[in-house]
Amino acid sequence: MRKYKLLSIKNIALVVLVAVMAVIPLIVKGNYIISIFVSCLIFASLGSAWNIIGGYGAQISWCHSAFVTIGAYSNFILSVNFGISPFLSMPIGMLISFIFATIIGHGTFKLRGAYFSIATIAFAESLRIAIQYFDKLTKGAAGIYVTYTGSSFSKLTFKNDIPFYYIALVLLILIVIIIYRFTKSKTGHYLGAIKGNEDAAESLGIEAFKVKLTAFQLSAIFTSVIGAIYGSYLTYIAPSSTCGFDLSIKIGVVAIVGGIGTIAGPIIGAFIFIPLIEIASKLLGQIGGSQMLYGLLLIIIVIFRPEGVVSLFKRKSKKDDVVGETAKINEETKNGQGRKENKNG
Amino acid sequence: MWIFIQSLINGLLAGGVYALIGVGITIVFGVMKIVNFAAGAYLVWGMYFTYLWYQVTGLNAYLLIPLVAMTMIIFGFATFKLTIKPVLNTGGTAFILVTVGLSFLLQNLIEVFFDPTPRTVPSSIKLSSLQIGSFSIGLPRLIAFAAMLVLVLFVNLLLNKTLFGRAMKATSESSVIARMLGINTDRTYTIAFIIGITFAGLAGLLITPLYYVTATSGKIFSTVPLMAVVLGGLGNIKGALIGGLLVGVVEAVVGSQLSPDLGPVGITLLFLVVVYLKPKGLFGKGERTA
Repeated sequence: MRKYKLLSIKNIALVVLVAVMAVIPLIVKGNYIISIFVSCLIFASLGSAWNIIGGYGAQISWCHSAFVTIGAYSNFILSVNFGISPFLSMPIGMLISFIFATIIGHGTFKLRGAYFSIATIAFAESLRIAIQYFDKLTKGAAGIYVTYTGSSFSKLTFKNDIPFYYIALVLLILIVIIIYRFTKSKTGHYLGAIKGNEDAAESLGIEAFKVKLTAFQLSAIFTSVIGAIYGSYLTYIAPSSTCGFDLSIKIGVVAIVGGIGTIAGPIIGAFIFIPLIEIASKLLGQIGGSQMLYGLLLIIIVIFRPEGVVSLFKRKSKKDDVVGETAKINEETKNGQGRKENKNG
Repeated sequence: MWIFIQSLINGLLAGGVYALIGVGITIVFGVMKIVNFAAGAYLVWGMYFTYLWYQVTGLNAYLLIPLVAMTMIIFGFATFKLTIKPVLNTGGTAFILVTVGLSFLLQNLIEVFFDPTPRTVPSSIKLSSLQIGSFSIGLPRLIAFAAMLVLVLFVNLLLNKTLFGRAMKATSESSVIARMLGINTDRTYTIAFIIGITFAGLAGLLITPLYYVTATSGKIFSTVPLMAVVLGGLGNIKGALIGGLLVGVVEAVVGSQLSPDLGPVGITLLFLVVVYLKPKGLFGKGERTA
């Protein structure tokens, strides 16, 4: 086994990166720029959480906005009605998300293909309708506000966005560490095996159903925690904005643009995609134009760079070469067949 | 009791539209093993093409069927070549991402091209209905239902009685062997996708007397038909037909008994229960590999 080196180039670079991120609010002036940084950090976390099931597990979820909603609404309903701190309501959101993830996963992870994706879309849509319908508790389509009554860490209300910047940064670091540990765990390796070849993994005794379910539950719990903090940051949540397909796609695209199934992918993706959307919505208008970009980017990335922006920085690994070789062989066989057909014709 | 039976009738007729889109999704899935998440967006384009052709010709929506079908064929062909073809053989989750991206792109393109004002395609039969006893049947819905039946029948004939249909079936069984037998599988894929798209577009045309022409009208039609085809069993045309009618009925009955808003929630619950108890759907053979 390779000895773990504390002072490797990678670790030093990471420490420098975190240090730079930590001093950014001291250098950058203006709340607007800070707010974009906060969005980037939050979406980096959301993308990382999505990546657990969408990237490492290759099960495309379109209901992460629903888990954001569950986290944010448990936070707002309890804090507005009972004055409970978001930190205390977080476990409730986590529990509800866990339960829903279990229900969706139980039905669909025994199957493969698009079943899971279809179920997630249906679930998010139904949750949005339910929130609008049960308006006594949720204030319906109008949404809920949290009114500012002075800076307070326990209530997660602040005068400007700098405290949120640090909260989001710490949250991102925590999530990245947990995900890193997860990918190195037994379940993480199982998940990778299932992604590679589900039949082979199952024949080796891996219970694909359980592993996928665990990954989805983990992903849902993280997302609801981030959702609770994101809600406090926004101070206003409504079913149309927090529980829509738009947000789910935004979360997925962050991970996909950056690089699906990598630690750095969602973070790089968020710092590229979120500013891009910000500029686009300034230029093209809030609806339509900028949201068109989600779809366009998704198509372009999947067709031309399925491994995302991260793959631009990566040195060509052995695995890539194997994939390339196989593709070349396939191509040659195809051409060969073509030639034969021509001869016969 | 009257309300129940009336909502049953309404549900069956509304289900006809879901079934039509569902059959389109099924044809694409059957041949290409791709679930087309963008069907709802193509439906919206179908509505707008109907509106545009109405503006040009001033004809009744039903007379525009050939024109809209032609437009959808060209539109479907272009989007297929540009977006679906490049990921055809990549497998895995690529097609989910591409068709969802396509759905989002197409839906929002509408908002860029047209302002959000709802438009209408005038129809003289908009409010007419047939009276049978004390029950009433909306004429536009009845026509949509009948048109759906005709189109499904047409596809059935195409699949079972023509050489091309047999080529499609062979491709669906095994594209490699089909290619060995000299079937142009690329062409089969293209045509299957175009048929699916055209069905969605014509569903859009058929609902113009009932809905405003807006980018958001397609919202319910982008999720419900997907659930309908899974309920019926992915890849099974009869299943898609019955699944479509079933979700229509569930939506209408839940809507009339509890609240119109909760219709889609009822469908989702039914969907989750069926997938849990009978994962392969009511009539399906099921999908083992992605």
